[in-house]
Amino acid sequence: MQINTQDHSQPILPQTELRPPETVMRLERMGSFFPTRLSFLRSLLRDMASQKVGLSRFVNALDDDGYGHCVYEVEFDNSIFSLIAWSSPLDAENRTDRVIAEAWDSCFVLFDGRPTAQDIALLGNEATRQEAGRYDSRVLVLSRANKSVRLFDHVVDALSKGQQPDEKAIRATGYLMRTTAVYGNGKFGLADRSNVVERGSLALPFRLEMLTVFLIREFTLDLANHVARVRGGAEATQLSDRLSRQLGVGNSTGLGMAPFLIGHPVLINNWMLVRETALARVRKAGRASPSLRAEFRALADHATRHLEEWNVPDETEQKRIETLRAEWTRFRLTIDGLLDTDQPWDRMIEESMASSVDLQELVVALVLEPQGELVDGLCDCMLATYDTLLDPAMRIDTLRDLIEQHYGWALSMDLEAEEATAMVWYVSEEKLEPRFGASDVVDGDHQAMPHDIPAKVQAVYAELKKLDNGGSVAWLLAAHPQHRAIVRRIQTIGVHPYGEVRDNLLSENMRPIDLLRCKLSFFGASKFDPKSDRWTRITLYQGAPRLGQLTPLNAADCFMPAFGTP
Amino acid sequence: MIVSGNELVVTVQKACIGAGVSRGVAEEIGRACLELARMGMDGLSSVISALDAFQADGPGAVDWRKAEGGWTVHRAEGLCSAPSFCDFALTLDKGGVVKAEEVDFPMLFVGCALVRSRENGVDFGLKLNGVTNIEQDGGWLAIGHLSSATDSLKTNSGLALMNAGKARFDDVSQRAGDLTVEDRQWKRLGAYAKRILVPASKTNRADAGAGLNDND
Repeated sequence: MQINTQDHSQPILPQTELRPPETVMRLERMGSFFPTRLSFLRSLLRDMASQKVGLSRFVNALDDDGYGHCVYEVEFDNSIFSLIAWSSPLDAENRTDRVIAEAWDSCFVLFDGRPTAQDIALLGNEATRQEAGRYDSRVLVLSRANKSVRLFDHVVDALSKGQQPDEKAIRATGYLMRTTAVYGNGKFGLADRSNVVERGSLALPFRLEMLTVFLIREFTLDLANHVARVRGGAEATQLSDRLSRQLGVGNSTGLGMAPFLIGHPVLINNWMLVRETALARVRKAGRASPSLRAEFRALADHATRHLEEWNVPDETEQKRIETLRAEWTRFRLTIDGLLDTDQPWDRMIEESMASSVDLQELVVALVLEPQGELVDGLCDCMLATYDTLLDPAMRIDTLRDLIEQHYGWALSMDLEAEEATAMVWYVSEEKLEPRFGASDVVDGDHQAMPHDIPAKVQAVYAELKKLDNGGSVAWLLAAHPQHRAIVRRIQTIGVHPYGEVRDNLLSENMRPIDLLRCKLSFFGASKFDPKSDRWTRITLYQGAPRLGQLTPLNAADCFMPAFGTP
Repeated sequence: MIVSGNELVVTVQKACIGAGVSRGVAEEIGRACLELARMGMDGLSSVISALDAFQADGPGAVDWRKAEGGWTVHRAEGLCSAPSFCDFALTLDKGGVVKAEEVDFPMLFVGCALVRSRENGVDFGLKLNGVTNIEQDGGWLAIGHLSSATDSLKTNSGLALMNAGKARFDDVSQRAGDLTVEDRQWKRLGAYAKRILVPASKTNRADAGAGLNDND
């Protein structure tokens, strides 16, 4: 096969020029992304609503203290899936969200089909040990979660006394439990992704993981109601629907997310390309109808409330949110005028460029939101059927041209500067926890994750200069097998240019949290709450209806969750 | 022991990197082992032996020479040379051949050819010296139908790989689902793979960027 580096594709719908990779694939911008209607949990909710997915079977085997297990069975895409949830006591000193934890408040598996009692008993022994357990291909996803202790206790206490909990407290946290890992694709013997890709929409990225988290949310709400009911007896009440919707599932996320973005260039290209194509289609759209204008104004007001309700403990991040609020307030004043133009969405994007990248990306998410008919079909293009490409017949001069075209940023980087190679990504032997530390922590290249892309590009480029232009890549790689991975990557990026982050990932100034936020925005996460430059908490499904209450109209309710004055 | 396809690929890949094999080669050898396993063929024994030999002797020099209708080499070992063997075959027109008078671990050449056949959409024909008891088509074995040749692929042999033109994947049989590996093999691979991990220390525990208590 020859890699065709010329793009002859014609857009199916009218669109403007795409924002180029050198604009989009920068850490600062990626670290400012907001979830959009293309995000994975949003497309899942739409599909679940259209299929009228509800709970088809429920098993509650919790004891009076809320320990034991539950099973939630749903039918989706012509398959039966069962979330099995185990709840166990956990001493406070063992409650950590890190990968190195060995015990959790709750553990979960998404089971392919309906498990027998024996399956549940056997899996319980494994799932409660998480990474130390072994699974088979009937298990699709493995996860665990810890309670937000203060909020969980407050909610149970209030409900057991027949009262609804304090709405401000619910808003401040936004979830009763936060997951600390969601594993799929063959880890620890789980089903390979290739086992399910031919089963309808399950081929879409992270679809099973998103389904699992949605069902975990059901469990967290049921668990609180169950404990309150037992504790309060006749006096107890259930959490109101309104407050239940204000609770999503938290997620505590660290460095493990970042290498995924680097290791799957085709997939990441496709996510980004879909997002940018969607934006380009919307920008090309002409005058907005009166109803669309009204819808967008309401959406803009909703965004204002969302920003007001988004507060985090970290001072730097809180300041960033406050700056965004101020910018948005000014921008909001221009919206009515912009909506009255011939190409309103394009004008909004153009106008936003005078403000921060945070504001620009907020506007991107907002202009996509009311345009489902133009953009939702693109979600089907967010998967990848291969990881990378290698064309050994490519001529040396063609490879050199590709590098100059797509990696000029890497060639011009000064890697002699100490700060340029100050850091390294590595995996600790301690439960395989990914870490980011001073470069001298590793003992040889084999212990470093391959994130030194500019250095590798510069090395192969230097080698190419010594070779005959007419030679082939096959010849280069036979003589210099150390360049095999980077040549494969360069050729892949030649066809999938949105697959490469165009920044130095080993720089002293690099903030891994930017990669985390980018990936989490594609999941549909909101209310980023960074705990450091490499660790964040977020909320999923906050504002979404509960299982069984989903309709095509309310499936979008978790976009920029906002609930007004309590 | 039952493992997933992804575990098999990643473990072989890590084992190769841990032994000092370059990452790009390691990635292809990992995928080669999965392709072999899905056809019911044991690539892991060959990988482990190849890693042991690599540790003892290093990669070894390979003398690629242009020949009429293709490329030729005197001797090639399966760990580091198999991906290049396929590369050269892919640079040729249909019918072009890459030959080695002797290869170590021919199973890995077959595995890599399966990977690249799928990836690059090209079929390969294979010839092994001394193999006479398996179905042949003009002396060339179709790369997707080699499961009956497993034993022959475990010993050193002369080997030739022919570019057979556009691939037809529908006639490549594959086993889906769980894969079985021997515990002993898995432990050997695990020992090599462990070398890529950084020993834990108090200092590098902080490199994860998070605290150790989440009782809020």
